[in-house]
Amino acid sequence: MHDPYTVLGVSPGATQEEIKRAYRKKAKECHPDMHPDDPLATQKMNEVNEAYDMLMHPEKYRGQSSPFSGQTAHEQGQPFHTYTWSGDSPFEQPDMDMFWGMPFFTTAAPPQMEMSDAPLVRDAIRSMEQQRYHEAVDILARIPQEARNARWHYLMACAHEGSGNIPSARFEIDQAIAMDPHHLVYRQAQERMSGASRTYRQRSTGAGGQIVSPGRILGSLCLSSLLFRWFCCC
Amino acid sequence: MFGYIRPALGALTDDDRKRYRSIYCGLCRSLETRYGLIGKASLNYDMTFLATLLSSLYECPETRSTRRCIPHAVKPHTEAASAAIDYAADMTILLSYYQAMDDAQDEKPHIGRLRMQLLEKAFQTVSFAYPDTISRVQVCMQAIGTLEKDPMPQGEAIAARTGELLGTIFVWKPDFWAPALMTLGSSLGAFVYWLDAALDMEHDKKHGCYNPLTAMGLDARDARPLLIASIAPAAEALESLPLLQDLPILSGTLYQGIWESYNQAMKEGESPDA
Repeated sequence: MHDPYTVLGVSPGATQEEIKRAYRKKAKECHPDMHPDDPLATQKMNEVNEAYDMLMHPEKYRGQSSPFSGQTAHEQGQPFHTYTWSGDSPFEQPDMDMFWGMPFFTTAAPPQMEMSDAPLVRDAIRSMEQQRYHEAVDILARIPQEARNARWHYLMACAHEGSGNIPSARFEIDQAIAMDPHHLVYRQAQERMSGASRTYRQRSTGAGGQIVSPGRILGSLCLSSLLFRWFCCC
Repeated sequence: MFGYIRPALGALTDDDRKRYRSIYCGLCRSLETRYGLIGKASLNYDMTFLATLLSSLYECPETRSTRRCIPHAVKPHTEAASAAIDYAADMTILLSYYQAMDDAQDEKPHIGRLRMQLLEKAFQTVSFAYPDTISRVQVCMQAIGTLEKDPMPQGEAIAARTGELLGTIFVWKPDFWAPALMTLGSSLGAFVYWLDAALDMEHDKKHGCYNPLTAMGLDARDARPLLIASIAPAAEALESLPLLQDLPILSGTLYQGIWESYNQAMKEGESPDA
């Protein structure tokens, strides 16, 4: 178990920019491509990623006694890329090894299983426990319309949130609350999913109505964009 | 729905403006060399943003060259080339093809079908290279189609699916950064959906078309809190990523540029005595 500040080589008072710079430096040093003979290179890279994630999202790690378990999802026997893409075709995403392939990512704690959960629902929760959120979305989508209760909408919201799809997560959690307005867990999830507006309002000049460059956008707009505009005026 | 995701160039330094141009022109060049004139005609600001974002995140090796082209025959300009820019070019083709398909199905059947035909070959190349992205985008397109056919369409559901579509395109690789890129893309997609609804409100009223904001009893001016709530997660994701390169362009887009057309429309809508 390591302290994230030590892993990145920054002091606890470091600014976000310092953390980002330190991360970039460490990531370049630890890149598995730079150490093809080191079997621990991937693990080191994961540690650097996790340390970065901990410093950027401390709220995710609150309540965890040992944030660095020393064991990665990869070692626990999960596929290398837990962000699942359905196909295993040879035409994967291009240049997979151009960047360091990371075996896991973290997010809010997965939802708890309940006795009354149907088998498909259990499968979806299990996928979320293994951080396979896309798979959870696909499993939940197989449940027929008539069986979609407040809990289904809540679970769908969690699956979307985990995969990063916040608009869909918000939509589903609102549906869950409309069906069951007094469920505390749903309310807490809604609060978590709808934060951020105030910070944005403070940082954004545009949100307040300021206009910087009215009309002209690029000094000289390309002919091709004009063509495009002609094609598509929606 | 294209073209809203761009920086407010007036707020950038000269160097950042030049840099943005070099990515824009680089994307144009990649589209032209790989997909011909129809590729070039699909160039848009949104995918220039994606190219800038992915270049910054993955810090891919980049080459720069100085050239002249037909619209800029006199003054040579710099063009950037990288794997991230090529990916953004591929996604430009994908988006344009689906946009054409959407047009062919409703508003402009002839132009839509023509554009589909012109883009067909390029689209085949792209679908061969990214089968998973294509299948996810298709699921979103079908879902949006079904939702729109509803006699009482749910704007929030369509916004969420539009977001998912753009988010899917933003995820270049299934790696550690995928969720943050998904958040960025999906929030931007939802924002663009509501922005488009706000800007089209007058047109929709005149032609009796469905408008999700009108259906919710909102005026274009009342949409600001909804727009802020939609875009805030994207800004949060941007802040959380280890981005150093071109950060002023990226944050200038999310905090300022995407608001320009809305703010402009709201200003023009104000009556002189108000």
